[in-house]
Amino acid sequence: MRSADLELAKRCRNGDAAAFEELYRTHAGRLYGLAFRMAGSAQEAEDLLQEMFLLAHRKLGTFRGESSLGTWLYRLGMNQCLDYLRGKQARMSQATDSLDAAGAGEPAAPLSSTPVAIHRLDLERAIRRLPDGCRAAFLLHDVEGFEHHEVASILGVSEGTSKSQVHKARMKLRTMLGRG
Amino acid sequence: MNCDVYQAQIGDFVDGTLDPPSEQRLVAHLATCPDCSAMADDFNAIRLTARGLDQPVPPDRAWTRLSAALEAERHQEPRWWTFSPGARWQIGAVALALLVIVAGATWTALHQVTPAPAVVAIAPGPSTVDPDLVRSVETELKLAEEHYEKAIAGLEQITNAGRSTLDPQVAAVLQKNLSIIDQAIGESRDALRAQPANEVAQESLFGALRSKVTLLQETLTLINEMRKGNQEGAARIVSGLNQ
Repeated sequence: MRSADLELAKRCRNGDAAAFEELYRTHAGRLYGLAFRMAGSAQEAEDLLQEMFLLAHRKLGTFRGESSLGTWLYRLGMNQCLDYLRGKQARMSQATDSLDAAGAGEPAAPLSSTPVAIHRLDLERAIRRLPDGCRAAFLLHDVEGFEHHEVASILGVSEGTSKSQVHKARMKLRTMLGRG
Repeated sequence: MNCDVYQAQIGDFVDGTLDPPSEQRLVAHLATCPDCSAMADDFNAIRLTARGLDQPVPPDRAWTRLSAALEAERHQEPRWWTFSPGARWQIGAVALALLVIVAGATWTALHQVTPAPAVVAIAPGPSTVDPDLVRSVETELKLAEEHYEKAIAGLEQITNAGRSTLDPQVAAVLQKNLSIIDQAIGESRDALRAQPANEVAQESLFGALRSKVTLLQETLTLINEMRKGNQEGAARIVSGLNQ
């Protein structure tokens, strides 16, 4: 797997357009999903996806195969998303400096009180209301299926932090979904 | 042990990563504690539902846009002055178009910070919006519009020159789409002349300008694919244009 990744990265670095398209077709779907759930709109997700792959194209020379190409792309993509959200929040707080940033993502009321099953749309809406940090960890772990050590590597945090962020996200979701 | 200790282990338990002795103790506790048991059920339901969420699909034009941007980057890597004047103009226009997209995204982000009444209502005390910021947003809007117009002019010049490469039917579809967008631009500008602060009209104008840049970029990519003889790539773009 790693040698296939290294080979693909090498072909991309050598200017093989078909190789880069293969890289895009393999990973764009999941990265777009991540960007969509982090940014909250299709337009922003599309712009972020483009930025992710342009950056990947420039940085493929730094890929050494320590992780899979997919994990490497996720790291790069998640950093793009978080940078974008930080910039967006900075502008928001400039305009409305009396808003409590920490409280802005908190739910005013539960979305649903369904006792057994969780509706996917309710969960999607609740995910959007999570704070950025725990949303990132939750999306990588619970939605994308990465292990905590991989989430930690992607987010540049410890495995313990990844676990606590996912736990925090699940607790908040539970409250938002009217189950806590 | 109290519930706090067990609750801290529920995450690992539903993930299947809790060590066997701890798992045994937790399972015994869950059998006697409705609160912890409900939490474990909820975590499990959240996890299962999360894994089954739909995967949003990027639109076809995302690859078209990306390949156009990559093409521009590839051409920028060698020395700039080795290109023919026509190629330099084309690369410059694509770079300008990318700049416009960034400017557009900036505008969108700035536009979103304009406090809606609901936000102002929950803020304690009087509105704290800095008038300088509002002025700078207006300036940004004007600048973004100018960038769009420049990029559109540049892209139109190139695409008009290369239009003969296109199949007449495809050219007709493009022209029709451009006319629709032009009409939307005209209507938005009329609305803004009547009400300069109309946010819906501002949004509509920038949305239409952005659509025009994207369509012209796609046209440019299509012309390049046709010139390279890449029928497959061209067909993919045409299919995107028809959507």
